Amino acid sequence: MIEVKNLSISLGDFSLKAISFEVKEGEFYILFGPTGAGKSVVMETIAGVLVPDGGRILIGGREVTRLKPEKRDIAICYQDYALFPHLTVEENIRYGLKYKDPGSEFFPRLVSLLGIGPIMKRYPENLSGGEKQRVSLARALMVRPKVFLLDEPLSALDSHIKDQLMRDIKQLHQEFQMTTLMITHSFQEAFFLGDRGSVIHEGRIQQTGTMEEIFLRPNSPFVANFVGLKNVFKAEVFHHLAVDTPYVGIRPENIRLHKKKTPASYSGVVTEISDMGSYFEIVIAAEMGRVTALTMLGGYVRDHFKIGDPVHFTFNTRDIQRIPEYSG
Amino acid sequence: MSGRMEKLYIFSLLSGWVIIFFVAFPIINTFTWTDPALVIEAMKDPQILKVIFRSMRTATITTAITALFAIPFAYYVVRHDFKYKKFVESVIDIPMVMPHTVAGIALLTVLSPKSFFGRFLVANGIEVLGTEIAIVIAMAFVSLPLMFDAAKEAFKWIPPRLENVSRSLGASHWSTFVRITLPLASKDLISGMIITWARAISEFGAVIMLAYHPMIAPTLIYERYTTYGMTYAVPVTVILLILSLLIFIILRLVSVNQFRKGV
Repeated sequence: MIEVKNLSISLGDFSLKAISFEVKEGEFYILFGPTGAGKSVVMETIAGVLVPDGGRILIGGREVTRLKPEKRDIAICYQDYALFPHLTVEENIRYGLKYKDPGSEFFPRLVSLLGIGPIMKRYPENLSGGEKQRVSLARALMVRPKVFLLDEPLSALDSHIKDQLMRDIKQLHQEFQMTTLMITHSFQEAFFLGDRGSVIHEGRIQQTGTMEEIFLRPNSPFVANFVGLKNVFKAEVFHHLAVDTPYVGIRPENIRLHKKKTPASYSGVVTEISDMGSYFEIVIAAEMGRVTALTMLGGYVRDHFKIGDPVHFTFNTRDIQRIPEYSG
Repeated sequence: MSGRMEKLYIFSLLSGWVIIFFVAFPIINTFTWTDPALVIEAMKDPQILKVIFRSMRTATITTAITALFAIPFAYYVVRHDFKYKKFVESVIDIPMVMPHTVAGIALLTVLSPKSFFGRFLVANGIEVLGTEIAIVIAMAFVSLPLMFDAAKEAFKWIPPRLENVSRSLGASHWSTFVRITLPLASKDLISGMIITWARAISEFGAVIMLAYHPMIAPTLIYERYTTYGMTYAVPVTVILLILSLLIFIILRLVSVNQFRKGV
C-alpha cells in the first residue's frame, strides 16, 4: 500500500539516505529509532509536507512523490494532537467531511468506539491529554484514509493512559484494518502494536523485519542495544563457543547471579544496584566488559550483594544471540 | 506572596508611579485646560470636522492598503526560511527608526517633479503632491512596519502542524488558510490594523512634507497653535485625543486572543 523507494532528503545538518521500505495493505508498520533518527522526516515526506530530494513514494500503486498533501488520501496524528483550538471536539472530528464522505453512520460508530461521546461540545483546551489524542484519532479516521500516519501518538501521555490508548489503537486497527504507519522510540509500543517495521538511525534504515525478528535477531550492535539487549560483546570473548558472527548479545534477564564461583561461571564486581520497582538491575564490571543483569528477586539481591562485592554469573549458551555486524 | 517586601521592588514600584504620572498627567491636563463649550463649538465647526474626517479616511485607506500587502507577505515570511530573510525583514522595519522629516524628504526625492518618477507623474497628468494620495503614501510609509510586524506575530504562534493536519484531511492550502489560519490569527491581525491606523492618524512630519494641504488633524493643530496659540489649538486636540482613546479602548477589548493558550 505504501512503497518508499530510495528516499533521500537534506534538511540543514540532517539528511535521510536512500530509505526504502514497503507497507502492505492493512498492515501495522512501525518506524522506530531514537529521537532525532529521522523518523518524523520520513513521515512528513509521506504526508507530503516535505518534498524529497530524491526517491519515490507510492500509495496504493499511485505515484504521490510530488503530490500535495490533500491529494494523497492519508491522515496524520501527531504527538501533540494538533487539535484545532477554535473548534469544538465535534467540529474537529467532522472537519474533513467537507472533502470526504464516510457515510452518515460512521461518525456515531467512531465516537462510541473511542468513548468520546460526552465531550463533543467541549473545546480542546478543556480536554485531558488522553481525550485530546482520542479526538485526534477520531478526526483522522473520520475521512477513512487509505493510509493512517501516527507520529509518536503516545509519547506525551502518562503511563496508565498510554497503556489504555495503546490497546485502543490496536482495537481500532483490528476493527478498520487500515494501513498504518506509526513512528515511536518505544520498543514496547512497537512490539505490542506492530506487525512489521524498520529500525532507523542516523537517517538510515538499520533493519527491517517482523517485530519478532528484530527483537530476537537484531542485525547490529545498535539495534541489539535499542531493543533492550543490553549486553553486546565481540564474539571472540566467547571463542570456545564457536560463534560465526562478529558480535553476540545476552539479554539482562538471562544472566544469573551467584555468590559462589562455579566451573562455568564468569566473575566480576558489582558497580551499580538499581531498584526499578518491579525488578532490580545490577551492573557488573567483568573481564568481558560491562554486564547488566535483571532479577525479580529483590530480597536475594539485598541480602547477598552490595556495590564493590565480587559476583559470579552464568548464562545458558542457548540464550546467546548472534549479531552480524552492520554493513550499511 | 509573603508579607516581606524586597527593597528592589520598592524601587520598582516607585518608578511605576513616576511613569504613570508622567503619562497620565499631561493627558488629563489637556481636558482641564479648555472650556468644554469651546470643544463643543469646535465639534460643530465644518472646517474642523472636514479635517478630522479626512484624517480618519486617509488613515483607514492606509490601513487597508498596508494590510493587503503586509499580511500575505508576513505569512510567507513566517512559514519559510530563505536566504537574506533577516535582511528583508530589517529593510521593512527601517521606517520605524527614521525621523519622520527624513521619511518625508526620502519620499519627496521620488515624488518631486524634479525626480524621474515625479516627471513621469506630471507628464501623465497624475497629481500626487498636495493631494490625499500623498497623505496616504506618507502614512503608509511610516506605518507599514507596524502592520508587517503585527501580522508576523499573528501567524508565528500558529503551529504549522495544524495546517498539515487540515491538508491531510483533504483541505486545500487556500481552504486551510481560510478555515484554520485566518480564524486563529484574526484577533491579532485586527489589533495590528488598529495599531497601524493609530500610527497613520498621528503622523505629522512626513505628511506635511508631501501635503501641507489638504490638511489633516495634526497639521491643523500645529497651524492653530503657531498662528493663534493654545486657546485655539486645544479644542481640536481634545477631539483628536478622545478619538485616540476610543481606538485604544477598542484595541484592548479585541486584543485578547483566547486560542493562544492550549496550542
